[in-house]
Amino acid sequence: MIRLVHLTKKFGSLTAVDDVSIEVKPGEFYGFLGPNGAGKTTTIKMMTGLFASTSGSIFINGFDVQKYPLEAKLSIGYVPDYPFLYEKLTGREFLFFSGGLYKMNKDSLRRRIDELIDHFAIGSWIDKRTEDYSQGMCQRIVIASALLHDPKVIIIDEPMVGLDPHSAHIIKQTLKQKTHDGASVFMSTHSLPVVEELCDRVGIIKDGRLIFEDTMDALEAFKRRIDGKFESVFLELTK
Amino acid sequence: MTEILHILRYKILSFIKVNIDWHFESAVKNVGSFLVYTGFSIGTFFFTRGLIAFLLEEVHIGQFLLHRFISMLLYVFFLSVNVGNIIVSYSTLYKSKEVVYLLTAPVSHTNLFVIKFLDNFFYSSTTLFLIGLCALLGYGSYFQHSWTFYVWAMMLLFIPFMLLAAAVGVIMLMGLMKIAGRIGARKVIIGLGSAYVLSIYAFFRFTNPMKLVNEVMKYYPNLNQYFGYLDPPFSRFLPNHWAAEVLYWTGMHNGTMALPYLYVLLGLCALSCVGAVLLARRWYYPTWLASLDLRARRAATSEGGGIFSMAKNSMLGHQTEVLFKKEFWQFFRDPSQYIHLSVMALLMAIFVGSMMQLRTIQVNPLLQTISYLVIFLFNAFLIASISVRFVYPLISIEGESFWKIRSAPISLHKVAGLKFALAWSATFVIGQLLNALSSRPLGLASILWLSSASNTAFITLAMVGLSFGGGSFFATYHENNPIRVASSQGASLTFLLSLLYLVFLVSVLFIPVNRYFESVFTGASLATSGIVTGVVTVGSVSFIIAGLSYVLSIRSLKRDF
Repeated sequence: MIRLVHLTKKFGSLTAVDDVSIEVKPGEFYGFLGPNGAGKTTTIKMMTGLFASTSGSIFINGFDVQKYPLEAKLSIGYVPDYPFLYEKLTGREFLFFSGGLYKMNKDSLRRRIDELIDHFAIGSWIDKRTEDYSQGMCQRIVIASALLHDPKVIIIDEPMVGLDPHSAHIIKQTLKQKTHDGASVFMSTHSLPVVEELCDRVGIIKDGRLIFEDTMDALEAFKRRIDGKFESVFLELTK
Repeated sequence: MTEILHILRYKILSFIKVNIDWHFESAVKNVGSFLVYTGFSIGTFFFTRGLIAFLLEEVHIGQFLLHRFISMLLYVFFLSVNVGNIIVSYSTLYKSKEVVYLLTAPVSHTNLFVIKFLDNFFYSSTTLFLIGLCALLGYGSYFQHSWTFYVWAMMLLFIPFMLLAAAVGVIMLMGLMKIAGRIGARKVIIGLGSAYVLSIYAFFRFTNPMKLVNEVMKYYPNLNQYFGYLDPPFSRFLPNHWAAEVLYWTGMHNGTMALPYLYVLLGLCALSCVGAVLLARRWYYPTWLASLDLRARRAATSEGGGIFSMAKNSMLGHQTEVLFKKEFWQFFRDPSQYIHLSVMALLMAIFVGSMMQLRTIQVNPLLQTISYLVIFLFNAFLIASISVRFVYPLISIEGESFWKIRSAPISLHKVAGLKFALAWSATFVIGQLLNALSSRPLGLASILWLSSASNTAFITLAMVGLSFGGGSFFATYHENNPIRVASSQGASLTFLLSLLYLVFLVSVLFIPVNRYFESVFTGASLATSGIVTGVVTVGSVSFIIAGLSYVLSIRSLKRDF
């Protein structure tokens, strides 16, 4: 479960995130949308401990990210916007590295890695150095590394970048299954069709402020009042 | 030309925007850097001037020997710049993302090469320029040269000398890339390494500095004559010899003798630069493609085996184990790391080998003190160099992938602590080996040997601390080439602070060591209390430096990523 309480982030005089409060319950798929530079990635980086908030709190499974970062991060599977990997490690080594950071037992880690290699169809690339990977392959490895420890909270920034349709389909199915298993998924994306397909609730951020937050049913009603297209709703709200 | 200037203009603009920042923290950093650079410049000036005065007025080695020593230093300097440029140029010319971008733009390959060559040369040479300028000022002021000397010596001697080393390096690199395409990268690297080892060995074997000194000293005290006939024939074809000869004849106020060497040096520099550009016109793009091909052809690396395999269990905790193994593979799979380490190890081995052949005669306590401190300080200098080169980049080379660790449930103290411990352990071993082997010829009494071993341990702590702290504070995650990181402004500042620490060492150790040698010489009761006090002082200050640096590291690591 994820709870953002009056979250604010300032960079000097620029307020990147302005008093944002969001709650994502267990088993819920939350879509986080906004124009470029709205504050989506900044919000996510605060949730994952990469940024410190200026004010406000973030609770991951009841743990304050700033006060109890280790406990909070133990529950998080994070996929960043750019899938940077350690270039000198192979994909398999990176996965072992990731699992080790979450203190996973070697035997279960080995099994889990083999499962994920099959699941994401990584194939023989797994034993090549990641410096030779395409962006899509890097993305698959990063997503696999985020799911290794069976996290209860999945935070993803632009998950479909670089993925072919087959891989994108697998990712979508996997994430949806995770919510059925009780995990909370917080996904930032520009892809409106993906949001419509997967999300239970949507939040739209603009200039650091949350300007819209509601269920997909409410969003459907909003769509019908305009022209039935999510794109029109988005453009109307963020103009 | 317009194209080159256009691209260079934007590179300079972006450099200025990145480095000139009016925020308080950055202003403090910049002012601090300025003060340290200024202090170091002044120190280099006085050190050079003082050393020349000492060698000529106290030891009376004469101008000829002085300039032969300068020639030897310049040879090592030339090779360092040459090897360094080959290694850095490989990244700049063949792995840089900027090259990939510019290749997709309508920029000629030759112009692209020129831009990247200049980028590489100036990026990695700023500190060397400063050191060279200050040393030149110290040298010139001793001989009371006019201001014109400094201008032409810098513009027509020092810079062309470095440019020659860099141009030759880049030509060699393109040739090596061509060959590597046929015979494989590994054989080329081994061949190159062997060639450098042989060239250093051959230079010192055939120049035989000790023999030269002995031959010249036969004419003592009439040493201010020209002994050029004693030079081995091949040395006259080396750029370091020409540069030293220019300085020598200028000092003798004989410009007529200096000019031919200057012309040869300038001519060869111009030829090398033009040659590099002409070669790049034919070879740069094909070798760039070959570098892609080499990477693609590299056989699928099976998971690193042995005890460092990620899949194998170990006695370490899960997090410690994977962090340690990651560091191991990151280092030993990066040729720029292990090759450079091998080169430094070789240079240290040569130094130690030379030291072990020394025979010291205990005549003068002051000379004994100086001998002891010079060797000790040189060891400390080597430790500082290793620390800046390999420890300073430790945080930066995490690169953008650091998100994985930063978002993982692992304490930053554990991450920093492990990196620090690994760095210190390796440097400690190197430091102790250096100390043990280089101190043997001095025939030190156990108290002195023990104190130098202890001080060396403290020095490694301080140097590793400074480099780790500096590397964390000035971390640049978008630049994960360790050599470029170790050549950055932050690294230079850290190195200068390390050198300040060396000055502190001299100030603390000189008097007690001198008193000790005097007490041995006069047969009085041994003055050991000062030695012990010196060790305690060095140890205390080193721990403080390491502690403060560690705190700085943690604070820096907690910054927004």
